[in-house]
Amino acid sequence: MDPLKFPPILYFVIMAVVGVGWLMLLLFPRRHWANFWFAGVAVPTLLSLGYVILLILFWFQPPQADYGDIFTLDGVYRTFGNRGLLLVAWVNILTMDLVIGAWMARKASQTRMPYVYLLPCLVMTFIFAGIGFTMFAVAMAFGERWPAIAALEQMKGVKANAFAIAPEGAGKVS
Amino acid sequence: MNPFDLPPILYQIALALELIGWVALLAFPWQRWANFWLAGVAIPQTLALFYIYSLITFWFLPRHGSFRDFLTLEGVYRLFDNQGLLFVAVLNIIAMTLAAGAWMTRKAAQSGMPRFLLTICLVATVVFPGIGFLLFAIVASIRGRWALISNVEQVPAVESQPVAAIVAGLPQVAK
Repeated sequence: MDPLKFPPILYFVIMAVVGVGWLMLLLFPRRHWANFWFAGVAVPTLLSLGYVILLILFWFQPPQADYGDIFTLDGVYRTFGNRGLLLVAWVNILTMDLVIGAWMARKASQTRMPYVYLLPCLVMTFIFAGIGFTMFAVAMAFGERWPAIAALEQMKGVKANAFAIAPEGAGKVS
Repeated sequence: MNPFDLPPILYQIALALELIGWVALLAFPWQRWANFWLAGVAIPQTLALFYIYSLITFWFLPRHGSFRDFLTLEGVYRLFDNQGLLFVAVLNIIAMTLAAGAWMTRKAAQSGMPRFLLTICLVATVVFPGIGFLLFAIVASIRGRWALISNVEQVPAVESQPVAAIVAGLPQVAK
């Protein structure tokens, strides 16, 4: 049985999985379970698992891949002649777009960016990631939110929930 | 030269930009200019501008893009007959993978992940992004690092420095 018959079918399965991730992100952009655990961790990890399995299964199928091919555009096209590896690249795109989309939703939530600005950024990131990412950068720049994001992205994590430990520290300060 | 081919130099410039980002991440993982501004914002953003330019100029050239092509794997392959759109896909991979790699580096810094573990994840991400992300997910499961990352990913931003502001805001919380 020809293993290269499977990628076109798996394509729909993978699109369905990533579609659920985006749907949750669009419906519950401010819920931590959706914008972090589900769309930011669980679905990308599941897709990465699919990526690894597909990579191992199809790397040695004809036409056999050569890692040096990625350094030219013609080489990339040659590699995609192997439909399994084309699907691997597609999973790569879908996974990283979702990771970044979820990150955008979290930063929007943390900096209180209105949903009306976030929604078009998310939709565009799903369709054309480069456009969505640029729209997000521009929206964040107009709201002067980049410094706030920079601060959030370097604060140290604390063991318990920050809000839960707050009252204890409060007594000491006052 | 075929006008419908992409100049090879553009592809090499994009790969060189990506490489600068990864080298900065590997060499200075704990520096904010590297793990946030350069590899997390500036370089992915520059690559995104390449992406937009290439998408707009090549989408309407033969064989031109169609949204219907996204519906099947064969359609995606047909889309890539157009070199400019193949370049867009490669840019998508390298820009978003670099942005995700920068995010992983920042979360490693915030959750106190040892540098050698982060380096392994980053190198794997450069070569095969799916493997790198999976490794990061596993490493972050050790010693409750996901909980720390979860924490910094939901704390609301405040006007001044976050930690100082949380402390300053505490008396009100206590009341």
